[in-house]
Amino acid sequence: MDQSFVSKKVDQEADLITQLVGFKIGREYFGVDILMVQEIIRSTPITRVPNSPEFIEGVINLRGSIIPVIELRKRLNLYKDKNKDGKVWILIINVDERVTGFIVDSVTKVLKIRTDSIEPPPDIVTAGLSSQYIRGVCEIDDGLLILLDFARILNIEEIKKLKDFDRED
Amino acid sequence: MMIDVSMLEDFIAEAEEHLDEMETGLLQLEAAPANREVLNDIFRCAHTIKGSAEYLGMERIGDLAHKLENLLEILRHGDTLPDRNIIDTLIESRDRMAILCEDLKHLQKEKTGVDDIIGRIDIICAEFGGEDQMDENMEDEELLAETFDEDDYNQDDDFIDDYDDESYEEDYDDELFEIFIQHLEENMELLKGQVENLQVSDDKVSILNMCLGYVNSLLSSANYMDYSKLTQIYDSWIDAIESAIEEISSGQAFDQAGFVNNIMVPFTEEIIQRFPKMEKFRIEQIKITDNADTSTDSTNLKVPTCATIRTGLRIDDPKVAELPDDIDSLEDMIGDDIDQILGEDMNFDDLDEPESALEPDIELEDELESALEPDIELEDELEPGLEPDIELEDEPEQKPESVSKPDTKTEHVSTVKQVMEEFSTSPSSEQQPLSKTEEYIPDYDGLFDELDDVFDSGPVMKQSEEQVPETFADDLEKSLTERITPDLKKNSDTEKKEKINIAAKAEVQSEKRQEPVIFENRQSKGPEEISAEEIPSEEILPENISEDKKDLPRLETRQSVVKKEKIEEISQEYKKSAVSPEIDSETESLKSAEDDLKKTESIEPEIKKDKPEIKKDRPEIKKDRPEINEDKPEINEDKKEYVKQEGSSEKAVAQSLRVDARKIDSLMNQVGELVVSRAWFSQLYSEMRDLQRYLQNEIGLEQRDMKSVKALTFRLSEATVALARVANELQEGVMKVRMLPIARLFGRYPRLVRDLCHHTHKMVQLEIEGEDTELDKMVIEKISDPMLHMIRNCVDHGCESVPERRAADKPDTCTLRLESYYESNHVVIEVADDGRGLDLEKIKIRAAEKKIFTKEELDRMSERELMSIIMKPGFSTAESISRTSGRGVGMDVVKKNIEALNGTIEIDSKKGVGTRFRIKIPLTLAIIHALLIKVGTDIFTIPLAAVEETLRVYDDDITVIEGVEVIYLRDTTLSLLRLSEIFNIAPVNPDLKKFFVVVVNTGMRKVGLVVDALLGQEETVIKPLVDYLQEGSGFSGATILGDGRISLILDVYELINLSISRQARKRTGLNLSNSANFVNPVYADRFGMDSDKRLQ
Repeated sequence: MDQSFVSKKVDQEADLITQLVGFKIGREYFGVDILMVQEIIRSTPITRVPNSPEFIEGVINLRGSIIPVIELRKRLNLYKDKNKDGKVWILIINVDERVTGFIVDSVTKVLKIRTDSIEPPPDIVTAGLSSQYIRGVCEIDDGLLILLDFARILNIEEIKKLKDFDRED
Repeated sequence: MMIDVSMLEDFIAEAEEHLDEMETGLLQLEAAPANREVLNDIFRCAHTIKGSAEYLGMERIGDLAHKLENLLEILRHGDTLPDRNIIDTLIESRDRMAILCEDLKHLQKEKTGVDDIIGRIDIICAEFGGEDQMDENMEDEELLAETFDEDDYNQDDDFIDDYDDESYEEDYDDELFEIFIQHLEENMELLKGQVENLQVSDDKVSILNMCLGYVNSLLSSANYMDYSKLTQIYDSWIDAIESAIEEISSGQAFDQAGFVNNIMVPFTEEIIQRFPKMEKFRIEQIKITDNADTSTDSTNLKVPTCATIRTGLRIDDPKVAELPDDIDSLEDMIGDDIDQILGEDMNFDDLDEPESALEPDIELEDELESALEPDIELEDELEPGLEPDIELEDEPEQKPESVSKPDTKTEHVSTVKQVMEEFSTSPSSEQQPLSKTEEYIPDYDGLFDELDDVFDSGPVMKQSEEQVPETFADDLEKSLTERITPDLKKNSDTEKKEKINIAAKAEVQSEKRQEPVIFENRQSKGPEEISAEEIPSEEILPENISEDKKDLPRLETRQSVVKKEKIEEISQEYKKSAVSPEIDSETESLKSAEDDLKKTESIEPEIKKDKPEIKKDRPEIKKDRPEINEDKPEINEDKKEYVKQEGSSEKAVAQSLRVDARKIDSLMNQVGELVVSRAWFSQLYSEMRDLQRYLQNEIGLEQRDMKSVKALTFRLSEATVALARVANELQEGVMKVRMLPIARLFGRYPRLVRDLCHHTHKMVQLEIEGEDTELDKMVIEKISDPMLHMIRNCVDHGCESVPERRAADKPDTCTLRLESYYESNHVVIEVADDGRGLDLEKIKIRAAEKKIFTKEELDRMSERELMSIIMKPGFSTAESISRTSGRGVGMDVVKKNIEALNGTIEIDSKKGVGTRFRIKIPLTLAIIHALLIKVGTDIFTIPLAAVEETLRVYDDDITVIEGVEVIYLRDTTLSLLRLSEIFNIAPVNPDLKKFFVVVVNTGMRKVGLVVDALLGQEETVIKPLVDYLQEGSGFSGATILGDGRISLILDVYELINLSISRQARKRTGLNLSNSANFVNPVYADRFGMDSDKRLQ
């Protein structure tokens, strides 16, 4: 009885804090649950896949596995300005057993955020980003942190549709 | 009932195998209803399934199998031939069981009902006059008979071996019995393991508890099998272990050796006696060496000896009965030698030797171990060790003599008894430190009783006893020397050697047994041994015995003197005189063993191997085997291994191993990585060569400096070649592991054809050829469905009905032929029928009706193109949708599946003559031979299977027709696809006047792919792409090149479709939709469809 009580309390406390990996695209701050991030790699040769949607940068060889890499900027239709130094980071994110790389401009430290401080996405477009890809927003010291919904970003149907669209062009 | 998942998996796998076998059998039975053999096969399958199902508590499968069995039993015993109804019922039952297996696989329980089918079976059974009932009774009777047999054992242990094997396996239920035996084996092994642990571990209680658990589980299996006697044994075993546990927990000192020797060993022996197969799980007596203080005591040796005697006696009893016949012949053999032997001088000093020798045997193990390796050394050290062994054997030889002297049976008995009495008192009077000895005393008593019995057991005895000394002494000597000398040489390890010696002796004994004479010796041997050990001084020994003893030393010396040369000779003799071929073979093996003296390892299995042989042929000998190890406790692990291996290899030459497919897949992946690394090394080598050239030409290194660079390059190339070789072999090896004979696939179709025939009322005969062709398991799985479609098509569309065939002057039965063979790196599967063939006119009409092609297009098509229309989606010539086909899905799926395997399909057909489908698929999927090409800066991979040739084409060769570039290749036009255009890759040298064309063939279509460069051929490992990248992208996957870069693998078929739709769109834009006449059908088709879509 006691034990279960204790563990429950711990759980609750753990529930309160979410650890996020913060990253930046352009000037915007984004966050993703640390549990989804498999690893973060610096730029690696990316092989272009012809006839793929524009936001798919290509595939990389991650220790023998071939992993698609998505240019998050293009996927989310963010500002078109590329970062200057050309160096990118690739967040390897595991969404529903699909391992996918996402190109971001830079990665910041791990953020600890209270769950209750996360607010639902505002109806209005945030940072030029349609709210459907946003899981929530959260105030941090440097400004507004946008929590991305990667499952949504990786929605296969949508990608396929986009791909068909691309091809028909 | 909770079932272990792994057990369930095994059950399902096994049941499925049996069901498959059953299906084959049933189909055969249908063809030849009178074939008893097939019937028996089917019965066996049903029986096996029933057995394991019941064992696991699968009620429905069990019940159904049982009913099936009843029905089959009627067929088997009755005169009734199975008619269509019965066969149908049987097949349906089989199917139902298969469904139940599926249930089990997915739900872990039986879901589908079986009552309806059981009802049907019952009805059929009832039709045959209640034979079902009779059958049930029969089985009960069998059961009864069994229990009866068991009871028999209780009264007379001697017949156990025969009965166990014979009655259980044949009369009752060999499958259940096998499961039981398996279970027994497992537990015995575990027990043995625990006993071994016992000697090293401190936590005795937990080990004992484990033992208890194993015995308990044995008990339950014995219960299940209704083996009452076994159950009793287990019960008392459990009691014994429990009390031992109690002892320990109550704080008493745990006599570990005593426990092993008095509880574990005897009980294990009991089991082994009943199930000689359990031989390998024999638990060794713990040598007294374990307890240093007691080791000096020679009495310890009595323990094994007693056991020996005990077992020996048991076996001999039945032998006695057989003796009379043989005695006469033996008498001749005795001759004067008896007197001679009897007259030998006695030397009591020699008597002491065995005793002292016994000690070293036990104590000097360490010394011996080191000393044994060289032959010469062995002599010194080993002899003491060996002699006692020999002694033990020899003594008995003499004993009978002495006994026989008095000449009357009663006198023998009394003499023996006298001696025995002395023995039985001596251990206690000597007050051995070992508690064990005391525990064994009761054994003596029992022994004496048994001895008495034996001595009373027939008039024959006297005679045989007289005969014994001579024959026995000679034979024993021969065999012993044969045995021992090779062993000595061969064994580098004392322990092993000792064991082998003993084993050898035991074998000799068992061989001897085959000659009836010997058995007397053996009986008397026991007491003799004991007396020799226990009563060192003359006074204690009765005159006659002590007299005999004098002979012992003599024999002993003789034996120990025997050297290699003699063995040869003796074994020859022995061979000649050998009573049975088994002995022959044994001698042979010994001789051959002598040849490779040092190869201890090899000889062990040989010797061991012989044993089972003998065992098989002469059940009595099995009884002896316990002695072998009883005398000398520890048999090495490896020896056991050999026994196992040998045993199994005898059983079945072709061994198979069930391995989780995932393990093989992951192994395959690893090999894939290795193949990639190999490519990497090749790359390194070529880079090194470039560097060398650079250093030489650009930097201008001195010749001297270049030398080392060159040497390094050379070595690198050597290493690369070596790695490549190993990698290739490994790859081939792993590939072979995955290969399965295509029979697995073809085996499914007879049933399909049969069912189809029943539904369509056609007569079709299925011919299968090339079943042995091996194919990657994955390929087999993936090709299975397409094959199914094709066979259906053949029967449904291809084959005509009987009247139709008659009208066409064809035999009534249509022949459907499945054939498979290798063609370089591919397997070709042909599905051919002699049916009506494809009706091209009909296809044309249909195609036009279904608006797949326009009439004009159709008119222009070649025959082959027309035939390929049947592989278009939605195309069917069937007038109506039938049970089997006509929906227009089928051939397109077939084509798609085969192409997914990088395979091709061709159709050959002639109206009224037949149709042939020719499928060509690569042997494996995981690794493909591929052509690397370059477009712009990107490297792509084209499966070689699709590549027909490569051409170098100049700009002027290209003609543009209606916006499509074509070249003329050997009088036909070949349309070109520019990969750079399709992939939107900027060409590196856009104004290049010549380029390479890779001609690819997808089976129906030939297209030239324009590429910038050809890089060469490589073996590549296919890695999948994410679905959204792979689907409709023109790529079937990707591969990792030697330098870690990724190269996409072209899916030629997709690619062509892709480009066609592009061109179509382009043309739509140009409003040229109806002018694509020159292109081949697929183009046109795609064009039409796509334009429709777009217009909508």
